[in-house]
Amino acid sequence: MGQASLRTDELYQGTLARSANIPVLSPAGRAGRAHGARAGLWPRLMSHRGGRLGLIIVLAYVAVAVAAPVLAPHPPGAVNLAGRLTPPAIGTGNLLGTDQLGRDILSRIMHGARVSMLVGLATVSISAAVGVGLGMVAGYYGGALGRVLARFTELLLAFPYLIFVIGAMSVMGPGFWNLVWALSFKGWVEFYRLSRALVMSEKNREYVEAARVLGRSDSVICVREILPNIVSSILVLGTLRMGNMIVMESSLSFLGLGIPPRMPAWGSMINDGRRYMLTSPWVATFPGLALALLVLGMNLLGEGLRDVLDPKMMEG
Amino acid sequence: MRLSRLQVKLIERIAATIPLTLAVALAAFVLMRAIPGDPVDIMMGEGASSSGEEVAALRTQLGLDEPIYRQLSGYLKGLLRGDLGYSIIRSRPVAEMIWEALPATIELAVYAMLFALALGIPVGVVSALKHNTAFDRVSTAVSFVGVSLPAFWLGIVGILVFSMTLGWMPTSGRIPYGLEPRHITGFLTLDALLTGNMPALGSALRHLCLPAVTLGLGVAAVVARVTRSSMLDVLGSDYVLFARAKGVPEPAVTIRHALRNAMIPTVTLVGLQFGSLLGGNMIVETIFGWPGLGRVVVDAIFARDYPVVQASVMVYALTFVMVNLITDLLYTVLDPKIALQ
Amino acid sequence: MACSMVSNMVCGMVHGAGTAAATGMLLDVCDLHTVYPSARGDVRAVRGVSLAVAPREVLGVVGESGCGKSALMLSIMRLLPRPGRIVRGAVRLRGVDLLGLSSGEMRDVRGREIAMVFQDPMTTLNPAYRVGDQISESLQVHRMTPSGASISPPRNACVRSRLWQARRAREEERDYVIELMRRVGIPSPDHRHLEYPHQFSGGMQQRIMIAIALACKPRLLLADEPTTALDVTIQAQVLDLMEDINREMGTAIVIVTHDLALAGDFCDNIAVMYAGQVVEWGPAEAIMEDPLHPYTRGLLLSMPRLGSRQPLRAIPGEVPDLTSVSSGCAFAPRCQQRTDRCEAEEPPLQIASGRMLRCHAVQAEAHNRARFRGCVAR
Repeated sequence: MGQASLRTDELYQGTLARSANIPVLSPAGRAGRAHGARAGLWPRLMSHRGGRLGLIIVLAYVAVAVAAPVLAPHPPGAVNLAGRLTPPAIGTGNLLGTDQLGRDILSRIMHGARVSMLVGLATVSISAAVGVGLGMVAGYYGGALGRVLARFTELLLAFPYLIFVIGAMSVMGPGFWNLVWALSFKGWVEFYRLSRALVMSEKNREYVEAARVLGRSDSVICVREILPNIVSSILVLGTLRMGNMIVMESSLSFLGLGIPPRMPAWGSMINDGRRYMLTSPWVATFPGLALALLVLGMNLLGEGLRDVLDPKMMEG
Repeated sequence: MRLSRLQVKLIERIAATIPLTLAVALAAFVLMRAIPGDPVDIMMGEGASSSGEEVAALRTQLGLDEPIYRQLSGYLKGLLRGDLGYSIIRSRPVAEMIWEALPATIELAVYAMLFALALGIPVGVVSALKHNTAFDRVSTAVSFVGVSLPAFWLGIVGILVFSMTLGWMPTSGRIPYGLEPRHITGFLTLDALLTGNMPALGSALRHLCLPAVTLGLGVAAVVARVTRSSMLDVLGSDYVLFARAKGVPEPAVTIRHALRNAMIPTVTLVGLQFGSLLGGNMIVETIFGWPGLGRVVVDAIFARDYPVVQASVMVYALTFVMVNLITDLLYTVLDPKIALQ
Repeated sequence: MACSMVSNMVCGMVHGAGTAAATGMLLDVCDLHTVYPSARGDVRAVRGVSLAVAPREVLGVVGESGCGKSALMLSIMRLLPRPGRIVRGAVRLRGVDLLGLSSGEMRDVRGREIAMVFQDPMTTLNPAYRVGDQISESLQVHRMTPSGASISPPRNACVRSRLWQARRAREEERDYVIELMRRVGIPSPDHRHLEYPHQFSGGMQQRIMIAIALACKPRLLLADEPTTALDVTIQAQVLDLMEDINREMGTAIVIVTHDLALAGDFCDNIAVMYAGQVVEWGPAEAIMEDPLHPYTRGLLLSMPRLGSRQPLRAIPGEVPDLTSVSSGCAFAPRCQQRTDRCEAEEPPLQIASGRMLRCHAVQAEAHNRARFRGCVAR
């Protein structure tokens, strides 16, 4: 659960090290976007073993999540009390067995992927939007806003993430959007810290200076000059955080504080299965495997992206 | 000379945590007041026919009828006296409950961390020394998977395999009733050692095994990864080459010159991870029926037991801040460059 | 066989008639080959280098970056980073082949017989330890007392006297460290030995590195670009220090540099390296005044000189790729005097005009000159 704090920290340092080494006159500006790093990203990611595997896993999950209503053999909530806790078997219509209410586990896992990935995507998008926005302003201008935000983030960081989210969820009650907001309420801090540090090192570079001399406004400089140069680091952070958010969502659903019971979520499926662990281990095992594999894919993809976008970190 | 600077740094850091503590206390207070739902309703039981007078009496008794600012000032005054309030549901002082649960949580986190270090550091060092060999590849892959496995699922599978199927480990709790060693520190293994109570020690360790491994496995994977990469950096450094050129024997090069420097990132990591072990173990505590702070918080949240949640969230945050402080100081000892800045 | 013949000749040539035997040499490198396997094929970093260093001599090894100078030094120390390895050749220290030693024996040689100083003191000193401890570590790993004797623990001594001896030894060691730091020119060493590397300036760090290298009084000091990372004024001070050490302590020094002028001022002999080979090797004065190999000439011409109005001339072309060295002379593609022979056949290291040389053109010229002179004499 706490693991991502490290990975982002690593990333953070690596990015700082890298940004110190960017050749002054070749930022990923407009020319770079046309045929530079961006064009090479795809083949380079595909030639990175871990990154390729991660991408395949993640894309497979995305496909399943999108097509879940079509792919799933049963509706996720279809109760069949006659067929409770049937073991996994081929040809019975319940490939991965059924749970204590006779619901098809495979179908629930597929729909659970939808929920998990949506939570991950929504949380990371909101966190990134807020964090990068504030981070760029604080990094570019500093000043009073920067000082206030520094104190505020310090306070947020004093609470362990899970405690914080549990506290917030107990205020708001279970619910998809409640969970997204609770996770984002602390999630933006990482993006804030990363983008602030990056902007602070980028803003003194020659190309920014040049844009300033040309009379560009601050907002144009931030969005069109600086942002393209820091976006790759933010992308990497976002990918790594996504896996983390999905674990967090499952943990909360496991505790009964996340996704409401009427929606299929891996965490609550695992919690349901706990009681039948000895007699029907498949109920809790398969959702757990689904979760572990997705998180693994996200991590592989994130690290692959980092290696590809951040050649200095190749060794790690 | 050096010590005094260290002391100054220590005092500065501790002083810096005071406003943070205050802010944390405030945040905890606000968070709990924002909860919809009334503890009195929950205490009276939903749908139970209780007279308005009874409810009002209870509200007065709990101080919930006072204006919010009075509640706040009462809360802050209590904090200064070390009084964390009174549990609404359990009718006992919160400080007592926390004081009982905290050692269990810390003991679990410490053993999880010991396990993580005992596994992660050697694996990381050997992977770095045997860079690009089969061992390195396998351990890198395994640690990657280890990072990705969610702890709560791991715990359930662990219980299924080791407790239910194989019967090697107890499924839940810290120690069977009646076997507890005399209470000295609250850390069962330590108390058992101090009183020479070997059966209690054995039982406590057996109970610790699964939860500590569940909690520590992910950390072990991260420790191994960080140790490996920092060790690789250091092994390729000029000062390791220079040590070899001095004729320093290879084991001493590895340990005295390389490992000592490679440990600096690992120590930071251990600090960060220890904080998140403390904060993230409520799930593992729930699974293993571990009577720690995490259980207390989760139960209190479901019961809307304001004072308990408020106090435990604060204790968590303070522990977190303290761990960061200790990490910082440890870092200072390891890295002389920081000590004298 | 051929190899030892060459080095015998070499010694005879460079050090005058008296010391024809290789046995008089401190260090004797023979036909040394080193490769680094890489994804693009083996990088042949050292390709048949033969060199010798006499006791008390200062030898400069000069060449562009990537010519194999550092690989040569690390090969001598047997410290090539994996997967680099020595393919063949010999490295003899006072007649003993270092390549035949066990790793334990080699460790005894490192630091005690041959010490090494690196380019960047900032990264070479261990940031986690006090400089005094880093200096005395050399003594400890070689179990030496400051007086130079090996330590053998006294038998049957009572515990108290052993403790007392241990304390005496520690104090002696500390005094020696302080003395050594004073010797290399560090001000107020009696308290600075307790400081950490980052508390010293670059020049001071380099002095500390030299002190560490000298702690066991080695016979030979290998210095890999010891001044490159320093300011120019500090460079001169460090070189002065090394010169003093050479004079007073009799330590022979091999200094690796890309700066031919520095080598010319500082060294007794100079070996010019190109593409993993020694192409010209002889007395410093001779080489500076009358360079024979086209590459050495090129280096001299590309060197800015005070008061000279001649335009600087760069050597055209690039250093060759050491993964695929052709059969002929490695310098031929850049050489203005090349002939067909240069491209077909690698020139051997031969004696010419009081030095060793690897060049067909110059050798032919010298040969002709000698014949011509012979004619006149007759």
